[in-house]
Amino acid sequence: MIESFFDGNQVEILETHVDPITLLSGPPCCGKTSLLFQFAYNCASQSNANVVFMCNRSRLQSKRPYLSQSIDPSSHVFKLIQMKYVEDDEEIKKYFAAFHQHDKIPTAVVVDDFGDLFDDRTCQERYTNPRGRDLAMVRTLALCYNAITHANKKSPCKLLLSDTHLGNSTRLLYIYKRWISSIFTVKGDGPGSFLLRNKNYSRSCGLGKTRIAKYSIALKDLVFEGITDDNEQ
Amino acid sequence: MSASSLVAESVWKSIESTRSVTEDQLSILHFLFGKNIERATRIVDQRGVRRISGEPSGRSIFKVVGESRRKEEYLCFAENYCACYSFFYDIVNKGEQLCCKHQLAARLASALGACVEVNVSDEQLALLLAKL
Repeated sequence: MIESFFDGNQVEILETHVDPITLLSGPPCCGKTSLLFQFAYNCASQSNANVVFMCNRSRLQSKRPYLSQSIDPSSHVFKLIQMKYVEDDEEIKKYFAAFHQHDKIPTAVVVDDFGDLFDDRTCQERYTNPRGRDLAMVRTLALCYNAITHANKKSPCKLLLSDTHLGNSTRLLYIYKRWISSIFTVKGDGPGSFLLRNKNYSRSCGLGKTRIAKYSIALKDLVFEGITDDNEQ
Repeated sequence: MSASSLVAESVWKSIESTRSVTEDQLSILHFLFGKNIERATRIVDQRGVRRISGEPSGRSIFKVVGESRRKEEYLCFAENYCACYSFFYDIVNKGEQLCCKHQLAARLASALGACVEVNVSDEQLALLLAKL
């Protein structure tokens, strides 16, 4: 699945078993939005079906994602990607609460900066609880999980979330792990270069190898630089 | 999924296939889930589990009555979510238990076919879920 974050012309995207919900977690400014966009493009072009991309509008406009060079920005595939601008967690909840009402279920839903949609103060007030933000995330993730699992009974549907973490890993991993079995993390590897690695928490953990993809956004393009097996487990 | 979850899943499946539960199965469940399974059986016996299903989609959520005198109802997805205090603090935060009693009640009622089935429109279900 790690290949689906990159250009299909540069790396072969295999149709292996894909977990329905995936998290991409990384430090700020490491190209997460770009990887998400590539993923959305790949999903749309492979299945020729709708993909919904949810993000904060002003953030997207101030930091546009980088596409890989061989992708034509005027490609018809982008018409299949439906942008949905959201401001907070209530909007995400409303969307997934009504997910079963879609006539045509999208083949993938991508949510950029999932964690940022949860405002500390608002959540604490809403639940009158100092851990309000964690509580809100638990509820929203449970709702997403239920929406996607139900949708998959009728047609394949994937959910990809991204979150920003400071330091070595996300503090909220203990919450995410409960509903998300496939987690990718990004680590810096020199200026503009990064390593993307998958950690699998699902039942099949230990059967598959952990792989690391190297990529760069140094020259304002998403450049795939190779995949290796992870030797340090 | 942990070994406990896998064992539990196979017990739920066999209960579902016979629509009844044996002493042996109850022992296994008690071993896995402790006192919560007794509390869960009480809730099921009192018809405290409602499954609210949207039509025509078939998407559903459980509403389970608590054991306190106030008879609070908790929204619950049987496998992995409950709105109660215990779910957030004991299960998510401390990782001490696998399931709260409301989740177990929902699971048990569903396997036995002992839920009170409530059908609502998909739109009404969406409104309910948005307030999760």
